[in-house]
Amino acid sequence: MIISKDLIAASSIPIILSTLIQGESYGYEIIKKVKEASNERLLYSDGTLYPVLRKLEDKELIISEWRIADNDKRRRYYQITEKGLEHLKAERLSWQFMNDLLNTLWTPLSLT
Amino acid sequence: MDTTFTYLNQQKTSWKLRLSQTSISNEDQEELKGHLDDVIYELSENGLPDDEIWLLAMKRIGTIDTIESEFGKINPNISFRSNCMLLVYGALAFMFMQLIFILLPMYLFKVYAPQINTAGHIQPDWNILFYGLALTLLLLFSLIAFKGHQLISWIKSVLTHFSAGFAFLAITIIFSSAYLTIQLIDIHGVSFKTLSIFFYMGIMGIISYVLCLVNKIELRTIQAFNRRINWKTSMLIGVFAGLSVTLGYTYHINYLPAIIGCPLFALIGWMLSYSKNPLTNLFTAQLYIMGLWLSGITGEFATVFHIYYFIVLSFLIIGYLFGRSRLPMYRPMNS
Repeated sequence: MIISKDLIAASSIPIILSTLIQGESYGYEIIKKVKEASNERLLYSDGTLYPVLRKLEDKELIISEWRIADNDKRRRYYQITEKGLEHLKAERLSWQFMNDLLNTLWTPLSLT
Repeated sequence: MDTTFTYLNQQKTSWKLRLSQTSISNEDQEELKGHLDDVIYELSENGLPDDEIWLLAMKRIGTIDTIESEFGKINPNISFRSNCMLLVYGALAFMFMQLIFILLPMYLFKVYAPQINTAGHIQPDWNILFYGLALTLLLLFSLIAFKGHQLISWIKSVLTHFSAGFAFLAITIIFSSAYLTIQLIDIHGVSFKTLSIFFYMGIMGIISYVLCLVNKIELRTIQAFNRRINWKTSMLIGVFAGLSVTLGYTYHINYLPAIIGCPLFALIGWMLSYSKNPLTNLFTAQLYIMGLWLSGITGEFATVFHIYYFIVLSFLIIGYLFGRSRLPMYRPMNS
C-alpha cells in the first residue's frame, strides 16, 4: 500500500502529537512508535521528522528540553502542551468526520 | 563500541561534516547526529555487516539535502520577506529614477555644455532636453497612477525571472550613482569623495544584508551558501570585489588596490572551493578584473595592470587551494 505524500504531510501533525499523549518522548522513539503502531507500514524518512517537530514547537503545540538520557547522552525530549492537546482534540473530530463521510459514501459500492 | 566500528566511524565523521556545512541549526544538527547514533546502534544489534548498516541507516534518515530543504520550509515568514524585498525594490527604483532623470543629465551638462553665455542663460538645446525629461517624468507618473498595478506586477515577474540580471542592474545603479555624485559635487574644490563612497557602499551593504536575511543566509551558515554558488553568483561577487578594487585606484595611495583586492579575492577563492563547479566559478569570478586588466593593457601603465591582475589572480587561486586542502577526500560523493 502506498500512501500519498499529501496525506502523509496532512496527517503528520496529529500522528506526532498522538505519540506524545502518553508522556514525553524523543525523536527516535517517536518514529519507532509510529512504525510499530502502523505495523511497519507507515515509514517516515526519519530526518524529516525534525522539521515537523520544530514547526510544532513554533506553534507552541509541544515544548522541548535537552536532558541527559540513561545512556549518558544528551537528548531532546518533547512534551505536548495544553494548546497541543486542544489542537489534537479538534483534529480528532475532523479526522473522524472525514472518516465517517468517506465510509458513508463508500458503503453502497464494493471498491475492489 | 565506537572504536570497533572503524568503517562506520569514518562514514559518520564524513556525514557529520557534510551536515555541519548546511544551514541547519546547531541544536537540530546535534539531534540528527543523536538520531543516527540510535539508528546505527539498533541496526548493529542485528549483526549486520558495517556497510549494510550504513546503507540502511542512510535510507532511514534520508539525504541531507532533503532534510535541509524540509527545514527551510518551516516558518518562512512570508510577510516579513516580502516587506524586505519591497524596501529593496523601492530604494533601487528611487535610485534608478534619480540616476536617469537627475544625475545623468546634470553630468552630461557639466561635461558637454561648459559655455554658458554671459547673461547666464542656458543654451536652448539643453533646455529642450530638460523639459523633455520633465515631460517624460510626468507621463511616467501618470502611467503609474493609472496602470500602476499591472505595471508593478509585470516588473515583479520580470525581476523574479532574471534575478541575476537584477543584481547586476542594482550594482550598476549604485556604482553609477556613486560615480556621478562624486563627479558632480565640487564645492570650493572639495569633492566629498570619501563621504559619497561610504554612503553608497553603506547602502549596498544594507541591501546585501537584507537580501541575506530574506534568503536565510547567515554568516554562521556561510558554507551552506558557498555550496550553492553558481557561475552567476560568483561573477556577481567578482564584480563586487572588483569594483572595490577599482575604487582603490581612484585614491592615490600606493598599493591600495592590492591591499583591498588580495584579501577579498583570497576570500572568494576560499568560498568557491566549496561550490559544485569551482573551476567555472573561479573563471567567472575573475572576469571583471580580467576586463580591468584588458582595459589597461595598451595604456601607459600597462605594467601596473599586469602586476595587479596577476597578484590578485594568484590570491584567488591561493584562497581556492587553501579551501581545497581543508576538504576531506570523500566530500564529493553523495552531496
